[in-house]
Amino acid sequence: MTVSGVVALIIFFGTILASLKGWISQRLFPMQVALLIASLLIVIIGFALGERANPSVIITGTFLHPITATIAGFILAGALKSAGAFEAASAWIRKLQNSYLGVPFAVIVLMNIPTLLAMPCGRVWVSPLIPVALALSFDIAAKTGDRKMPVIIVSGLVINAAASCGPSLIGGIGLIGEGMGRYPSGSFSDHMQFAIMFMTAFAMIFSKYIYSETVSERMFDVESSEEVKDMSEHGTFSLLLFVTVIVATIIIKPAIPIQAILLCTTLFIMIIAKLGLDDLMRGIILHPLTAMISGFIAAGVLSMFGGFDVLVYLLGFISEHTPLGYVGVSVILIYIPILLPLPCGRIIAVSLIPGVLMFGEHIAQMAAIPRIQEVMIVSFILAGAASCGPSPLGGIGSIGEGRLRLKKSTGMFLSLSVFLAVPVAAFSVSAIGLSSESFSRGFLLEAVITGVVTGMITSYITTKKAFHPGGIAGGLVTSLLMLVL
Amino acid sequence: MKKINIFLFTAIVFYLGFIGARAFFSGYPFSLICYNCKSCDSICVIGIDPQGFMAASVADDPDIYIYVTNYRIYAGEAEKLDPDMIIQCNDKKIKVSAALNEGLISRDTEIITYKMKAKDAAKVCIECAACERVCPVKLPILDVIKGLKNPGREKSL
Ligand code: SF4
Ligand code: SF4
Repeated sequence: MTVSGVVALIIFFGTILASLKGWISQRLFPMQVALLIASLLIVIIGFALGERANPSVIITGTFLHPITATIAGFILAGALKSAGAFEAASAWIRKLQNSYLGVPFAVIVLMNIPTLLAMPCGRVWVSPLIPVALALSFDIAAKTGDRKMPVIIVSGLVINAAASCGPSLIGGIGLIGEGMGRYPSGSFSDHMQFAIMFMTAFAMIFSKYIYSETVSERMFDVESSEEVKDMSEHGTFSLLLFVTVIVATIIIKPAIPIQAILLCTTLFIMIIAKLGLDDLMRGIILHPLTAMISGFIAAGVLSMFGGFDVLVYLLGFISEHTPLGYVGVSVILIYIPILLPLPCGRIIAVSLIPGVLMFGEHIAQMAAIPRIQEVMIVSFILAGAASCGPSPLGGIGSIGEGRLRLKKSTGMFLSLSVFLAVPVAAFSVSAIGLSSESFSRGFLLEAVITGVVTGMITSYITTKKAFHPGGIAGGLVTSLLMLVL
Repeated sequence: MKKINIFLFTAIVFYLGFIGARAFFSGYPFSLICYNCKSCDSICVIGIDPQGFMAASVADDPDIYIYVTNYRIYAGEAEKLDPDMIIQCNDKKIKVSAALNEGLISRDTEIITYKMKAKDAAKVCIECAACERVCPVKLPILDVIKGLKNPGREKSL
């Protein structure tokens, strides 16, 4: 443990806390600027303390994958919007709403799409799906009079997308844990997917009953008065193309980066719908991108001066010298990603997985229950993957807040949803164990329970009736499809 | 204040461009594609984390430390290779030079490595290509490894 590591950790935590609490004025120093200044301060103090540092650590700590996935997602969303794909999606969803299956079916399926068709970064899904979620939610709000509906549905979608990089079999965060822990490939996926369905339902509950803000009257008027546009041929085609490409990618798993696939799809849509570059640029929001990059830089500086090593050392010290012991500290360790929500769960996953494995092994030996290590690593990865949802440093949640023009952060209740969903994954792993085989009796039972319970919650929140056939059917269809895909 | 903010925001954008440029200069621009998924990590019998080679390419720096968790070497040899190499010793991760100075091991002790410089890790790689086969985007990891092994090529990394 080095002094510079301790200083780095204190400055890093201090800056995030001060920005979140408003002690650092966001008007004077936006989060990005505060993080860069904090990084500079850490570097100056580190050098003053005589530390040797290698700037390459900052570069290698900047994970390009989520950044490029976000840009590709934004560009594709811009193309889809300009081609009229969202109008087509909204029209289909409206038809679905008016069918026997009704609103709950449409809501539960829409919110769980990111985890069902899990991409290596949830940001790929957020940009194209938020406009559809907004259209659906304003529609429901107009019909039911529940003005919280946009926040409820967008929050559910956002946390689902944030966590979806955990179970993704095409380069998701779960693979990092499987790789570093040497577990069978894909063995974390189903456990996490079912827990994310619960996480989504929890986010809906909290946004309805705990979060106080609703979208502004002005936004309501604008969205509700927007005339319903007809489905254009280009819009329908673009939407079909997009869905087909994503489903094919999940099933075939081509050895092509997802960003390249998204850009090729965009190009195709541009040609068909005769779009220009301006149409694409409309979808790009710079705030989450710059926040994410500054978060990576700050985390890189933290790692360069041994901040993460200090964290692991401190946890070891607390476990040996306080009544919390190894068990108590392990619980804290699992939840560190949501206590320190960074813009991408990969930062914390790569930095702390060796520590989690070490703690897990220790407790497993102490309790003579080998499965404890598996439970810990899956729980930690789920918390890590979902942590970019509540992250104020350009997390996925900030995209949702931006689109809904919310003033109050949604971070608190999104964190709470993650907090409650992690034990679901832990219980699932302890009961079923890790294997890449999806079609066991245990998983089938879990799929049915998850589908029914989350379906009932969605039904209750959207229609005030827990036993709506559409909600339960939607939940079951989604959870069973998760076993297949 | 506004000007400082604009300057820093621009710096963030330039930083992204700088990383891209570094990867191109290293001669392995494909390393930018790496998902950081670590699928390659679980497959390596020597415990090398091949993603580290991608990171070395992005940073254009063969001296960054990467995980090599299952390689046995005599402590004396390890010290000669790199005194800052991290090894596994009595449940601790410690620099080989520190372990020798503290008398935890002698130069004849066979130790297991934990983290090595990317260029040293490349030298212990047996080129089985297992990592390439499991990579979801089929990155040519061996090209980077061979480049790191070859001293002439290493300079451009
Ligand atoms: S090629 Fe080298 S790094 Fe890759 S799996 Fe084989 S030994 Fe490990
Ligand atoms: S498997 Fe390929 S994409 Fe994944 S970390 Fe390794 S090199 Fe990168």
